[in-house]
Amino acid sequence: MSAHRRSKLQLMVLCLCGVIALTLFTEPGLSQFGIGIGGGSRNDRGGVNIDIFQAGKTIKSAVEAKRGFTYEQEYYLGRAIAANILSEYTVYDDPAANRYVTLVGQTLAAHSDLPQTFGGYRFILLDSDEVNAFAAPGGIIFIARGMLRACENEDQLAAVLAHEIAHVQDRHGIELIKDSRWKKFGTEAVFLVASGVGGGDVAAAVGVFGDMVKDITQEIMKKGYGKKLEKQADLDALTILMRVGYEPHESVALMRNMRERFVKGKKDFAKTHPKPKDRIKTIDKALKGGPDALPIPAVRVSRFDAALSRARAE
Amino acid sequence: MTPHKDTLLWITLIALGVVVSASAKKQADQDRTEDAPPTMNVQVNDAAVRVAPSFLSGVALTLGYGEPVGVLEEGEGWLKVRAREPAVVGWMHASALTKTKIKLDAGETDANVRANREELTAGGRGFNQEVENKFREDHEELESGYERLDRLVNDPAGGVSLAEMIRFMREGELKPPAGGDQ
Repeated sequence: MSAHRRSKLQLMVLCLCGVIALTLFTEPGLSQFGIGIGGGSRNDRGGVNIDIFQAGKTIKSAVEAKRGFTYEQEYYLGRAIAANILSEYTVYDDPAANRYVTLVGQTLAAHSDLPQTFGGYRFILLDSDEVNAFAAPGGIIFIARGMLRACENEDQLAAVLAHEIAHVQDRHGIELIKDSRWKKFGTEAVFLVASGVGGGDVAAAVGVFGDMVKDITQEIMKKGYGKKLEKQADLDALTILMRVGYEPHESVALMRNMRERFVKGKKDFAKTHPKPKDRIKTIDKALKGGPDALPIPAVRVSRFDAALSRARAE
Repeated sequence: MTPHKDTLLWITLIALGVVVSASAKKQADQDRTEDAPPTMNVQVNDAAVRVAPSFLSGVALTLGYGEPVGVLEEGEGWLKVRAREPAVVGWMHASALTKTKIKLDAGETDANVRANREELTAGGRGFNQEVENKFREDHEELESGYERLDRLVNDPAGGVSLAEMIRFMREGELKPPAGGDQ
């Protein structure tokens, strides 16, 4: 082949490559099909479960299913988890205490990175001696009387609620769902129901929903979110507290109070959270170099005492 | 020029033509995007459009799930948006909006998006009321928990008005968030 002819051929090959590249990048092309490779995080491993449905119009992977998990889905999961908690605990009926905790909680939530959720935040008191608090995905937050007793003032109550709001804001509930559920969620039978396209298998969707509810409920009530997510919630809680103007150092005082109140063998914060000693270390490190602790305004002690006197009575 | 060479030349010319037209299309697409503000959709219930980028500022308009807005400007955690016609301009917290299109049922048009919230919810991607209803049927042991939950979440005492929040913060010597308490 002559040099002239060879260069002509090279030019043609180049042009054809250009056409292919442009077709891929300017049109939806292959990227539309969302073929993703699973990442390395806890729940992204299920990556390559690809199902083709809707006459080949769409391909969804389990990874995409997780990425696209909507606030609406969290809302329904959160309701089911809250129903589980309310089946096990009794609600503490004290309108004054409830109103006060709601005011503190809603003020903190409004200053979080997720001020609005699909169904809104709710703060519910539980008539239980456990030193405990839970957050269901979507913003339904529970606090037991035992935890109220561990708090000495409004800023410490705010520290508990801010920690729970941080779990909601960071969508930690979703992280507790096992990989196998995401694979099932990504299948045609379930996705057609979940996407509202029509068809599909409602019973299969309800099955996956129930499995996800079980995963999250068991973890938050019995094991907790795990060290990494608890640490993140502790740090994000400090940010929320400081935005509102609460004294962040009160979080450390709260941890000490909690440590004193834990009863060995009971299912409470001691079982579902890292040791107070380690949490104090995390918080101290985060606050190092910042402003010194300031005394809490008297009003934030007096209104706390007034609203919660009955709820905190032993 | 040999017939073989001729064919090669033609192929080259056609390929070049495709390249040029693809580039022109890309440019046209870009131009179109630049004209209209990027659209986002509401992903929570009752999302407030506020007069200033602060949760302590007044509410100009409340939007429903799935409603589209045009994004005019991005601030820290807040987006300046244009909603509905005649247009209302205000600020929404970024977490209330998604770039994901909320799917509409067949035949549904933008004009009646607002009119039919329930269909929109069903059209949005997610576990829905149908799934919850079936789950409740299958789990009778949770029924009392669901009933308690419904009473609690529907109790107006579970919410807080803007005025109450501002008063509570002032009395407690707490600071208003960035953006001021207009």
